[in-house]
Amino acid sequence: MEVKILSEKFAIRDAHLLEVAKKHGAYQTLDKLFAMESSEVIEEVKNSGLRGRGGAGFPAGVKWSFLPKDHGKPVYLAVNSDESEPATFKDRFILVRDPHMLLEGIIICCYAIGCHDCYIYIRGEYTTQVKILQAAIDEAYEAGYLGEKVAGRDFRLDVTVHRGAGAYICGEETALLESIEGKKGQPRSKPPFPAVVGLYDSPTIINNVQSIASLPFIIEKGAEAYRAYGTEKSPGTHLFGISGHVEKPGLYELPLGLPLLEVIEKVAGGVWKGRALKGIIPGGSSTPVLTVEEAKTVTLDYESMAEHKTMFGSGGIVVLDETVDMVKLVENLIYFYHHESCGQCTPCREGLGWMLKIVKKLLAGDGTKEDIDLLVELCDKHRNEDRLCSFSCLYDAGAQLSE
Amino acid sequence: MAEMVKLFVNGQEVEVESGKNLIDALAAVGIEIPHFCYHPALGADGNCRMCLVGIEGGRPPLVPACKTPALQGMKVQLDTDYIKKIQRDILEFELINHPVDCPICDQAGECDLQDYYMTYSLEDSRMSVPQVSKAKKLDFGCGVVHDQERCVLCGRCVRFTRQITGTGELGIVNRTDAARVAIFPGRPLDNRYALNIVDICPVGGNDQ
Amino acid sequence: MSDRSQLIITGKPFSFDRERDAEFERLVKRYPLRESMIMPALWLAQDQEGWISAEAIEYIADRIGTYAAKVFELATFYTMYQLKPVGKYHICVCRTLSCWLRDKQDIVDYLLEEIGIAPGQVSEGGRFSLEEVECLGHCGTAPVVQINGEFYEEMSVEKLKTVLAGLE
Repeated sequence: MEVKILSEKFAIRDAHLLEVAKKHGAYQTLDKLFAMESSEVIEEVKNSGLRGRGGAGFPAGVKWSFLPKDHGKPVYLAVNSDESEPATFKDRFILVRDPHMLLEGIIICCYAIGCHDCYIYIRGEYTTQVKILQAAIDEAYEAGYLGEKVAGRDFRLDVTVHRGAGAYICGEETALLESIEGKKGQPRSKPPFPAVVGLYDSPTIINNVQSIASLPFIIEKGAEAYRAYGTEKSPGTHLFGISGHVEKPGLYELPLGLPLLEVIEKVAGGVWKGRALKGIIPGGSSTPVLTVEEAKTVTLDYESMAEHKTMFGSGGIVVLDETVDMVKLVENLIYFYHHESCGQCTPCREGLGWMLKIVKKLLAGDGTKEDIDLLVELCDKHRNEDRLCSFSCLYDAGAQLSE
Repeated sequence: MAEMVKLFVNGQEVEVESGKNLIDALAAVGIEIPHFCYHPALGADGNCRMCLVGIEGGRPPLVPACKTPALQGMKVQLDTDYIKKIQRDILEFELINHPVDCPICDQAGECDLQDYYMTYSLEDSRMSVPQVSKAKKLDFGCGVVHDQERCVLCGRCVRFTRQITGTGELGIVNRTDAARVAIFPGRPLDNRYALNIVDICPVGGNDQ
Repeated sequence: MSDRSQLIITGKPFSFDRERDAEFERLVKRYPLRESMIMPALWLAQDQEGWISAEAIEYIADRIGTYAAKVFELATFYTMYQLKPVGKYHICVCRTLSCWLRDKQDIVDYLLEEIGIAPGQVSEGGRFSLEEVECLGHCGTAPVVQINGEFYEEMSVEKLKTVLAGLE
């Protein structure tokens, strides 16, 4: 079932070093790239159907085409490597095992959108990873792939790493921009959208690491080759992180569209210790839980997940075995979302702490029927669109199961 | 003379100034949209969520009035069950960790939180778990005394010191429900207009 | 989140050493706005001292030319900035979802019983400090522990004993 597009070089020793990466094809698309018009690059990416791999699944090429023309301001690219959604650990592999694939993707994207200053926002927890990434950037500068003349062409590109410092919300794209600007990571109201008013009030594209890292393949082999994988509406491959109660947790590159249970069984070795399955969180901690019954019919693509009233998200799959206490699971997740609430909007700021205390009361055995009703009502409230960002709307999944 | 537009509020036609945000535009014709963080001198921030209104056929259909300009033909909903419920919900969230010590609060009688509660909520408290406790009677300097528990974190005072006086003595520190307005230790309020923050506070957060 | 706003005032002035000073000057050129340097500067201060004092915040604000209250905001908002001294070995145990499912609590319990530190505490003599942190992004090799920035994956109490015994 596994395929190797993004993960092609993951098993190669020292592929994070430029010399090794180049032996295995790094930066070889650049001749082809600079022979293309930037509009052709955007068209190719649009045709590939590549969808943003950060969680929302918005088509990458379409996002780029939202940039205004003739605005007289610089265009920025912010690469989202915050990866702080629990159960998500895919971008880390790219940063550590094949950072030059990411840098090549950045060159492609920047050429396409006319950007000369790129910021990679990496979560602060990635301490050893940021060193490997920075070393790769330094090597790329030295070899002339970054800097005043990218690969000898008349194209300047500077790439700067900006480290986060422990804030889940900075994975939200406008909070990420605020953070780079030297502010608390608190989401902005939209509109205006970042493509129009983004970083330093300038047009800005924000893409996930995996989305950017998919570009070298698309430019080298063409949109059709990318579309050969996956489904019509969800083309390509994805780095699925499978964790929790399975025999072989880990990162697996798979085409989109495979049946979820088959993947758990054949790729991840099935539920551990011979236990029965209780439920699956399919795309990171904020995507609604699938029951065993629902999991039987779902496939790993955006459409099927939506049909099952959950989300593809970041592709971080968490398997729960029969022993999981769902109320404790709810406590674990509400604790997380409370801890990470940016504190800006009233409902999320005040509501999550309230919910956490109610769950703790239930776990202590002091809960009443009214407490359970109130908790469920508060979960429902968090689905409302009454705040700036949608992050806190999402954690109600587990709580619903506890009803 | 400013350009005027006709729009509908709860189905009734009103004529207001074009392009003004809905809070100010409708206030001019006597229609109140409750709000905490918005202040005409400080602009829209959008954090309190109290001014959310419905726009019939709008994309999105739910918007903060402080950030939404009045446009010709717009159909604004203030009295739908959905909007009323959001207003009650926001007030409930504002109040769960609030001390509700109105009898000893100088702001009582001219407090937006109190007024809005009387107008838009009147619900009983459902808070059966311990409240968040924060600091009271903090000396912010220049005669300003701050109560972190009464504060609704609208950020008006913080924005005042950054946008108006340019002195930036205040900040909202921490995140989550631990967030609070504070001065940096040893750098209290130090500007001639500091007492204004008592006046612009919508609740009893800042006192003299 | 507990209140992080009670800063420690050391009474001693702070400034970057020569190495961090050079790094500050190198980085500041990468941003069109000086305030973008608040986070990198807080990292440099923490890298230098192990934690961030009130004096360090004041120094950074003055160096960048911004309000101390603003740097104070960021230092308290972002939880990886340590606002009090940590142990020689700062142990972070991931408490979220996948690590929780794969028994991170055993590790936390062991540290309390054997070393006598609960989350948020520093051991006597300052050798160890413990922090329970949110998802560290190593869910496929859970549970995960981070000691002074180094990751230790697929941890168990037995493995942790070996790791701790191997520390200087």
